[in-house]
Amino acid sequence: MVLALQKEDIDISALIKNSRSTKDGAQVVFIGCVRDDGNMDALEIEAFVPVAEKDLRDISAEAIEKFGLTSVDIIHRYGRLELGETIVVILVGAGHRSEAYEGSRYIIERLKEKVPIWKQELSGNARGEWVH
Amino acid sequence: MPEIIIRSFAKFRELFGGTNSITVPPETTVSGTLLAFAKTRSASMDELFSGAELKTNIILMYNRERIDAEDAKTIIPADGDEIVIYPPVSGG
Repeated sequence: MVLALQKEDIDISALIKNSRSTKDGAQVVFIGCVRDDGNMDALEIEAFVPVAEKDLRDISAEAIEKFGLTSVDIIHRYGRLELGETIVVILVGAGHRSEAYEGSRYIIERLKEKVPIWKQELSGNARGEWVH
Repeated sequence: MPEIIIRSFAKFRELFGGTNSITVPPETTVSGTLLAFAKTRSASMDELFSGAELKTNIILMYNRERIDAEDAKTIIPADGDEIVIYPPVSGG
């Protein structure tokens, strides 16, 4: 299982291949990406990395316990990300699709309410609003 | 007198700087430490406090553990301890 924050792009194919086991009947991949809202050309993502990585481990353990997942991988990027770039990948494995979908949804909602990560809109050299 | 580290993130980092330290009298609570800190910066009072109370939308950590505003009134940091303050998160 990979639970990490990183600046580099995420190799989603490798993540899926490395995570899959013969216990899995389903894998669900959630990808969050930088949306063009028309008033910015990039996002700056700031993170309190050691606490965020601990939170990812806690959320992963919660989801495994709650939904009986076979695996959880969460990689969240930080730094400057251009429009269309990947922000976060959540990959869960489960015996059946219902647990996989529910577990994936649980993880992204917990991440958005708890983990110390913030987004700021960038337009040219100007820093804009912090997104909430 | 204990010297307390105050770290800030996101909007608070822009306003206050990422890492600061402040020396406070012994027995000063987390809340009292932040009040003393806020008084050293003109932008801080309105961002952090509503009257004498810490604003409820501020997330607090004391030595890397989350605490709430009530905890902040009772915890007394020691020399070298760390308080972290940040606004609501927005990852994902």
